[in-house]
Amino acid sequence: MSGLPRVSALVTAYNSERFVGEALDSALGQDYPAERLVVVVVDDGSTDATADEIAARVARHPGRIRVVRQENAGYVAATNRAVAEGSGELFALLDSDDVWPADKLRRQVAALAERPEAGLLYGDMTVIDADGAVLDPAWLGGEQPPQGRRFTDLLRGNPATSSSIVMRAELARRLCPIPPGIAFADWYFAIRAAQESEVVYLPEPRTLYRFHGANMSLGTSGAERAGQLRKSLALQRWFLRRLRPGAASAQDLLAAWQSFEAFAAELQDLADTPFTATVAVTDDDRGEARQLSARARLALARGDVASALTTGLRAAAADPWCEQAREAVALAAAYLAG
Amino acid sequence: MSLPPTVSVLVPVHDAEAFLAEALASALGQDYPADRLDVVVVDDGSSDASAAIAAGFAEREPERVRVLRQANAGTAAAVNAARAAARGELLALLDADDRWPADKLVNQVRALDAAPDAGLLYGDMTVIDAEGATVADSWLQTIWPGEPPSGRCFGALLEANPATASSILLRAELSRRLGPIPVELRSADWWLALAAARAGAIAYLPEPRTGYRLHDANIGLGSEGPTLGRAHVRRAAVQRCFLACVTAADAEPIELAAAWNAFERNVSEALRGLGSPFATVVAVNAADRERARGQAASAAAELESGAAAPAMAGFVRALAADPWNAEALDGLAAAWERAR
Repeated sequence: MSGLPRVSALVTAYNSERFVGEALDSALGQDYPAERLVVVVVDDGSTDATADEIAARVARHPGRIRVVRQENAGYVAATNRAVAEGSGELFALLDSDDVWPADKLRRQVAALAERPEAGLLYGDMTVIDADGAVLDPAWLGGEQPPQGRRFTDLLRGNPATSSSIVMRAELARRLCPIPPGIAFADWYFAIRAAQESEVVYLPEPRTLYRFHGANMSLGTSGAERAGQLRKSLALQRWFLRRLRPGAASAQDLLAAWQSFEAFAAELQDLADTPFTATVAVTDDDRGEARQLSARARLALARGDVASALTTGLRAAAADPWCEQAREAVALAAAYLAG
Repeated sequence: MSLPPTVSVLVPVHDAEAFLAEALASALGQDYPADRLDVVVVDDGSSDASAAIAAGFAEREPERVRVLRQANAGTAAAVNAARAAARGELLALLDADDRWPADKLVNQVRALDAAPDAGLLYGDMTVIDAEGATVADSWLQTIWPGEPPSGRCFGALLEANPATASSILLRAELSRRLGPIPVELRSADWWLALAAARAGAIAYLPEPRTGYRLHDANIGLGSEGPTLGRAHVRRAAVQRCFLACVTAADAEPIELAAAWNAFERNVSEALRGLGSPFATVVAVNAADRERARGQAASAAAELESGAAAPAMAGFVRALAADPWNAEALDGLAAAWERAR
């Protein structure tokens, strides 16, 4: 089976002594030709026994693991580093506290091979606790998560969790480094991939996604949820500010904006004040919002409603409180609704 | 025995043809000396028969009823115009869709006379529907937990408004001292009650109860969505106006904390009603932000020097200018911890 693509499993680890060994073992134990699979581990300045756990696997599997150690720079920076260090045609992301089932890569790689137009594939997850007990057998379950090129569907919320993602190395390199201010590497990759190529969803096999005290991506509450919402708003805003005319249907764009507003409203509720920090707006942002609003109004006057909508949304994303921006969006939406 | 004081009844009206005649009749029909009572109607740019109805009353009783007209500018502007034109020693507000019981003025005037330190008096209301049937016996028992505030109660009034227009009687001399209501606030009663309570004492007289009309076109019980949202926007605007210049002498720390929380609640409700977390409920410009930064810095210095209550008021002033000022938000919490 020498025709199989070469895959790098990209593992980022920070103070993950309890789980990283199991994660690495699951990558090394894939029923995928060992000579076609290399594991790249970025130890993001761990201060616990993570390095020892990694070293033990390196000793057991000489030549299969490439270890990069860096000063703690955060999850996204570690992912950027892993992408830079990876080799081969495909990259598979693996968080150091998650676990792959043995047939994960083989089946995902096969599915991706059938879809040359697809740049990224993601799957469902089984949620487990610290001891590996199943909390939720299928996180996405019977839902129909977004596929194809409709990036706005992905912008509304992230269905693509890191450890379920396989993407073409060439695309990953093109998308990196992940821009500053983006806190979710997986979400960013999924949206960007849908802008550049097709995205595929393959429900099974399900990655084991670990939900424990220290991580915070699924179903969190309170202050953690608030922090997560702020990061989500920042990511959505980043994309909304860069909308291009014709990038998506008006309906999809408005739905994306509404989910941005819904996250902000949830954050205000959670923080128990409407004045909580949602998105940080500078004077430059305000100026940009006013300028873009004026352009949106001109586009409306020309009868170019689609352009008015994208420009209006870009303005509203720059400064969500900008009344002219919100008016432009509402007007464009009203026109489009007929 | 001295003569009872002269009273001017101030009636702002905007498109209230269905109720105006009943309101004016209830004012003119008070068991109060007819030559001591006059009515000033300000037609706030009505497009229905309100002007004609008011003119009919003025024609029948030219000595007692005057009608002023203005382009539509809102209730606050209309009440300001009526206050400026009034000649009585006492001013009584009457919304064009409400009605007074016949003994309203005589009792309120007597009560105000007995409370010489009070500049304004307000009362309870009976909620009535479009046909005049009673919906709720007591408005204040519905909306106000406990005894409605009186005396020097500015702090308590900051939280919510118990004083509905048609129940208000105030001294003309105080009214002149308070100056015009900022017209952009578009609501008169709460502003007058707050301004009066900041200047001195106010009085509360539960009975007789004014008839407060609840109907499709006015905002009150039971409205929802954007209509309710806009009502909250107006309330937040009144609070912001007073919080912007509040001092430690005006309100206790606990009243300030409650007032700030009430402002936050109003804004939250407004956003919910208007359907967006970014809707313009509190407009903030560059000058507001600048002022907030300065006020927050001064308040932080006061807190540093141990003056928790003045610092708290300072942070509230900063937040009234720019509620998103993070230093002021944190500072308010710190000052409140210290002040309590």
